[in-house]
Amino acid sequence: MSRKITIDPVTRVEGHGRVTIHLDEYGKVEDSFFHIVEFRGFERFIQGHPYWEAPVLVQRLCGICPVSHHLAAAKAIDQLVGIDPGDLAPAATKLRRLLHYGQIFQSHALHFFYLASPDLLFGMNAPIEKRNVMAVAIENKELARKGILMRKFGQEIIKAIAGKRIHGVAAVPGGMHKTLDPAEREFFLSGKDIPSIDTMITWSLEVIQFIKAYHEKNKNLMGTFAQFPSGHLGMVDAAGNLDFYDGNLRAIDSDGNLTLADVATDGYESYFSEAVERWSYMKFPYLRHLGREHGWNRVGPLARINVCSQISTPLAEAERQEFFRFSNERVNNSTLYSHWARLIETLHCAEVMKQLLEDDGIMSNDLVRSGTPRSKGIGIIEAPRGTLTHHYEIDNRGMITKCNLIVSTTHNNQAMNQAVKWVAEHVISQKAAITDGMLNQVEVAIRAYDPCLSCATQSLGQMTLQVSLVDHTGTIIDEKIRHAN
Amino acid sequence: MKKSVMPTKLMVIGIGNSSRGDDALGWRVADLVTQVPGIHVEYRYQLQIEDAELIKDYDVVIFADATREISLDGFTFLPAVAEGNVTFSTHRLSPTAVLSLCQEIYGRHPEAYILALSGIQWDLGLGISPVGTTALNKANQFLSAWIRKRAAPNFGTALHQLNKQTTNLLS
Repeated sequence: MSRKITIDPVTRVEGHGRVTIHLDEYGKVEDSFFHIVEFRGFERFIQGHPYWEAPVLVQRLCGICPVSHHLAAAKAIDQLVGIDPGDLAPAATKLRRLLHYGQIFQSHALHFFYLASPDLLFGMNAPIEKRNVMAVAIENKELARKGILMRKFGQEIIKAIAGKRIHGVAAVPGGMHKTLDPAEREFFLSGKDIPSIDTMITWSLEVIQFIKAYHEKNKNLMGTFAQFPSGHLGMVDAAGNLDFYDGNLRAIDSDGNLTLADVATDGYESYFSEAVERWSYMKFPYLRHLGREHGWNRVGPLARINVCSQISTPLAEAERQEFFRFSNERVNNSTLYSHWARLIETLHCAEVMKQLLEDDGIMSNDLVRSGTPRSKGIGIIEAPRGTLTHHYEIDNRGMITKCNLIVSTTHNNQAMNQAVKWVAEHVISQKAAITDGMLNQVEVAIRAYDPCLSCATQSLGQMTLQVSLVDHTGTIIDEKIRHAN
Repeated sequence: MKKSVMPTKLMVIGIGNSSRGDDALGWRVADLVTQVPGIHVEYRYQLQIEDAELIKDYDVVIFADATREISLDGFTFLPAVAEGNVTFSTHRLSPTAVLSLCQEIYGRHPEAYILALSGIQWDLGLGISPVGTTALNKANQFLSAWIRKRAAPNFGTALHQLNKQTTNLLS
């Protein structure tokens, strides 16, 4: 009798995802799938709205990274008013960068302290009641406290630039709404009201020491768990530096050979296609010239660390070099190294924020530019989880006629499926019983990509964890449901 | 002799998404309360770990959110209890988990309540349903009375204004 194991929804990822592992009558894995509900509804929803509303409306796409959507949309909308990234006022670019790096800083801090650290501190086979941030707080109060304050620092940056944390007005077509005043800047530099930016750098270095110590003890696990070859995609500046806000798209294969050689972001349609599968609402992007089978890429921290030539800030660059010395490979294809890469990026964000905060030019009031209007705008940025594309077209009244979004989690769709397949084949296949620890390893593999599936409505009493065993006739032979707190 | 009432530091956190039908109910409660002097209001798509730090210095916190559960009165208002046994979550935290984290890290947590408003529609671009509107109206009447009874006297006059605003917003 064949069985089907379903994990629905996957825990500690956003929105609703579901994993289905098909076992044959001998308990061997036949196939596995990671299903996600995609938010195509938003692309239709925004059609007919005036283009200037897009940067505000898209913030409602996602409660986790509204700033990323806001800035990707803003870059696209800039083009609709005739402004390319290089035409933006210098202060506007600096403010947008500060906003963006603050957003990535707090998002990465959340992922590490809340989602990843329970697995790292207590192990994948730890009792379920231990695999959460509460257990981290109980056993390592200082780590939890720092995690909260790092999150808060990033949120305060967002609040200072956008006016408020939620639905703030930061970017406007062709620039920024407001500048940073001296008092706001001092808030982050002085350390009087909240821990200073220098403290953020210190703490970022500390958590990198934490992951390096973990790596020292768990080299084999980190190197082998969900290790599989793939392409890697990310954005770099003209010199090949890691860049989250603007630059060219670069992709490499699993051996480090260039598959996309620093192409301009507004040409993305020429290079990428999106495949569909009958079992998932989410599309599968791939490089056209390599085809569906070989052209898919991972995105996010690991991919970005793999594709960039170097990092522009000294402390993060030193850590990047050490990362590759430890892993001893030109390209790292091991899923769990994403956590280490994410922490290097966290440090980089802190360093960049310090540079920007200490730059007097960020307080200029020269914030908005305009040019000759166009009918098409494409904005691509590196969001916390990877490359994020917003593409808008408008009619002659300025109403949006087309919207295409390719979000980071969509790029990682194939990679997450590969990771689930690895766990299914190496951990679950042909075992006499399926334990909580085994199922958690499926989730660990997915969590490393920090997927954000937040199209789902977030209302009370909605989240449950359902594990079903279904035989080949469709009959449920076992089922476990964990209710959310 | 009339018993003196100490001022209460009260926070209302509206949770939801104003673009998704009845998921806006938590924010609409926050909209209404935001005009009341002395009450601190926050908006969230979902609760996060740093909210443990946010609530630590308050006496009373009310978490307002939409729920799919249909209740007789259109809403429920129940004490939130810090629960250490958080089994799992998404990026978001539940109110009880935030309280628990606050207790664990800062050694205390505020008295807290969950105001859960019944809703039925959640798609993008939809407004609040008639069911949600009824829930919002009833919940606000209740909340006004509750705040008047529990919180500092200085809220009293402002609550008349709050009730007036409710009528305007719902009309």
